[in-house]
Amino acid sequence: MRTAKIVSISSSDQVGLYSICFNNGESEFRKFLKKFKDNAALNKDYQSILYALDRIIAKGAFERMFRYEGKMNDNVVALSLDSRKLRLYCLRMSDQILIVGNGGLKETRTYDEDEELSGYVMDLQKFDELLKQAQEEGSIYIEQNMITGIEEMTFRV
Amino acid sequence: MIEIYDDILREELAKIPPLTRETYFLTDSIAERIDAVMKAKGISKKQLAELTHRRPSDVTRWLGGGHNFTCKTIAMIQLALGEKIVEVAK
Repeated sequence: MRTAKIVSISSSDQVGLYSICFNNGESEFRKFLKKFKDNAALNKDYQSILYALDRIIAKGAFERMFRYEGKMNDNVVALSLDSRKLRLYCLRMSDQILIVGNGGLKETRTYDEDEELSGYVMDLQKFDELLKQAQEEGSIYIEQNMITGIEEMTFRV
Repeated sequence: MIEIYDDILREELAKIPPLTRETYFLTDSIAERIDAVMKAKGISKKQLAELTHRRPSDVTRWLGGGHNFTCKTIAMIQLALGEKIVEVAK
């Protein structure tokens, strides 16, 4: 059993970006940045992800910018990039709320053939369920670009 | 007002060259316009793929925001949608 918290990583008038921290460690998105920022072989893909995030922060997390990666009834997506190698998985809650997870090099046809990538997707799917439950219970509220009450909550995953 | 709380993300975004940011602004603006026309006309990704004789995954990449469109691709999309996507300033 792991504990998890949601932390804010960026906010603008258009969008609130969040990430997930397991067991009080650094956020999943920060791990992704550290893992790939000095990787010369994947630099083009990594840069494409940064440009997309830069645009999302300025404009919003619109549906067209993502491809669905999870199941029909969840909000798990990956950034839709020209590059087909590096994946960054996210939970798109709305045009104004994006929870950015971890990701990696996609070398198999589908993410679920890769243990590491499917682990990241399953973490987000589990979180999607927990967030829906917390919303139903009234513990958190999504208000435009903010998830009110989220940073005080600790989830058990 | 933009706030970046993660210091690594802040440093990495600050490194984006102005030319790259301007290029991405243009490509994403084209994607935004295509998306708006598709929605206004009720055209799905699959339908646009059929109209342009491309794969649905190509349409997904066009709409993603970072695709470096050629003039030929834009012309093909304009013809398929029956609407101007790009107009040149006079």
